Amino acid sequence: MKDVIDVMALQSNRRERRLVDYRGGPGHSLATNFIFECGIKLGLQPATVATAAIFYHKFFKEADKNDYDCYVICTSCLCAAGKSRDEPVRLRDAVNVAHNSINRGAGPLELGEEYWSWRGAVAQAELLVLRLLGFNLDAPSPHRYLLHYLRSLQEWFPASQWRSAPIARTAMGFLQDFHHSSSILEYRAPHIAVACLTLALHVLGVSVPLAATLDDDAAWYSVFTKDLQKEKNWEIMEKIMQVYSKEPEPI
Amino acid sequence: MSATSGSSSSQSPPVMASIGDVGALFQTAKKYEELNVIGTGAYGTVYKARDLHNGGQIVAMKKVKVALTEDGIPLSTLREIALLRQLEAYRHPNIVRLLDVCHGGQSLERDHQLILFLVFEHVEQDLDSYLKRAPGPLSENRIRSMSYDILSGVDFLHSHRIVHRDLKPHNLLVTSTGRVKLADFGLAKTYDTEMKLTSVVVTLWYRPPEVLLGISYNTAVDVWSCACVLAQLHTRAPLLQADCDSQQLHCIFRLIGRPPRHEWPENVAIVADSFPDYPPQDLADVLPRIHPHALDMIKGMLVFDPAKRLTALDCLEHPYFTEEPLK
Repeated sequence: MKDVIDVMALQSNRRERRLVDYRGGPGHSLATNFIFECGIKLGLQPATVATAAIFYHKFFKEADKNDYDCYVICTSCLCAAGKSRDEPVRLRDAVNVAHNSINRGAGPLELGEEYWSWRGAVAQAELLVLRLLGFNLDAPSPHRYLLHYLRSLQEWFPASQWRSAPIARTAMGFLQDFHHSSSILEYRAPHIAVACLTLALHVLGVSVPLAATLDDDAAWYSVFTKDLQKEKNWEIMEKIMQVYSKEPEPI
Repeated sequence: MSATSGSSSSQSPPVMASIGDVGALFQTAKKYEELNVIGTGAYGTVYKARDLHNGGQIVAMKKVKVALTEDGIPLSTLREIALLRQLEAYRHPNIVRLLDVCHGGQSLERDHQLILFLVFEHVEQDLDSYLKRAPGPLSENRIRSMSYDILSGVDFLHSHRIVHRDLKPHNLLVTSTGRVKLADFGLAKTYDTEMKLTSVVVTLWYRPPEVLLGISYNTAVDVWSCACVLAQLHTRAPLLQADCDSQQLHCIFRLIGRPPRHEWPENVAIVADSFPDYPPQDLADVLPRIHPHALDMIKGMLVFDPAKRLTALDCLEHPYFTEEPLK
């Protein structure tokens, strides 16, 4: 067995390294990673996790990052997002998932002082988040716009070409990842959706059929949203790409 | 506390303290100065207050108590408040403005209760006092414009999946320019929990038969209540006045007649035969000097079967509003 490469050990090794250590990250650098990891572990819909990230960005647009515990606020954003999108998370589950993500390998919390203080902090923080957001929980979801645009575009493409490249997956991936950046608050939902779609098409080297026949100042996406200039679209795409340059541990 | 802070991040201890001390945070950021109590309704107390951040503008603050559940703020309450906030974006002219939502921190921890303040624009009078103060009958045009305002507001709520459930002159506000705005809607579930805590008598005069009979209901309840209010605009007196559920039903059936047995809903504790076979009354006798179109519309709204009642949108498109006044 000496010469056999232990693939499994290698893989699990690699997987170990991929896991983020939230205790090691300075300040809030890993906050959105934490939201996404916990959101996925709690089985929340991608749009709900994205909403939690939006709540987080909005909260710290108002509040000072040094004043609040990053992961308590993140956990409470997940709870609030779950409620606002009718996908409630049990407080206990949220607390356990958060605790376990921070303390890798630790079992569920005993019903002791640590559990109750975590739970109390998250419950209080949820009220604080709601207050700071002024109960404006209706985040205009770019997911819906993107889905609608994808469906329209799919009809426009020859079926074989559409199947040959994972346009929908890639665009949705960009959209989800863009939620790591607080810049997402600066743009309107339909514009974000178009930028994700455009970026996906560029990355995959796919062009929209007959788009080349359009006038210089026209764009294929003007049927979706009229007030998005090409420069603005590029600006958003650049902001999306910046997300990948600050990834904690590139895989 | 200490165990938690050690596990989450190094600079936690002061941080956790500040989260636990949410109450203090709210008190320092004092935004409103309470002036006096406007009213104590079934749903809680309403204060008149001054908005200290907006040049002392007068606002109405409604205090709502929300019972906190095991998982924090109840989902239904959260969604209802978020919906009210969402509606606010449309700035509908016949809906009272919701300016802010804040929570008072006092009894947060102690009795698992959260005190919410809904801050609304302040409107001097409601339709009830407006009608009482009116020196004589309202003019034909005034009635028409007020009716239109009320129905527009109701139609707007219905198009956003909101049933008001408690329309009455007390929660229809009349601005200084004579426009009507709807208030007190949207917190159905939040208020429900609250209602059990107060002993204030809820007026039944605007309740439709399906609510009185305790069966399921939908947006048509508001149309019925509207009809009662619209009739009241003509006579300046409530259309159907009774002081208990069964008396109210008698009162209704004396006006519209007892519904035939095949229209009587199933799964109702009360049988049709417990009411005398009242013949329908002519609404024109009850509402003398009413415009014939208005009469026709109100008749269409006071129908026993909710499915056969006009909708708010039907009413807005009724000749009463679309045809030129004949006079």
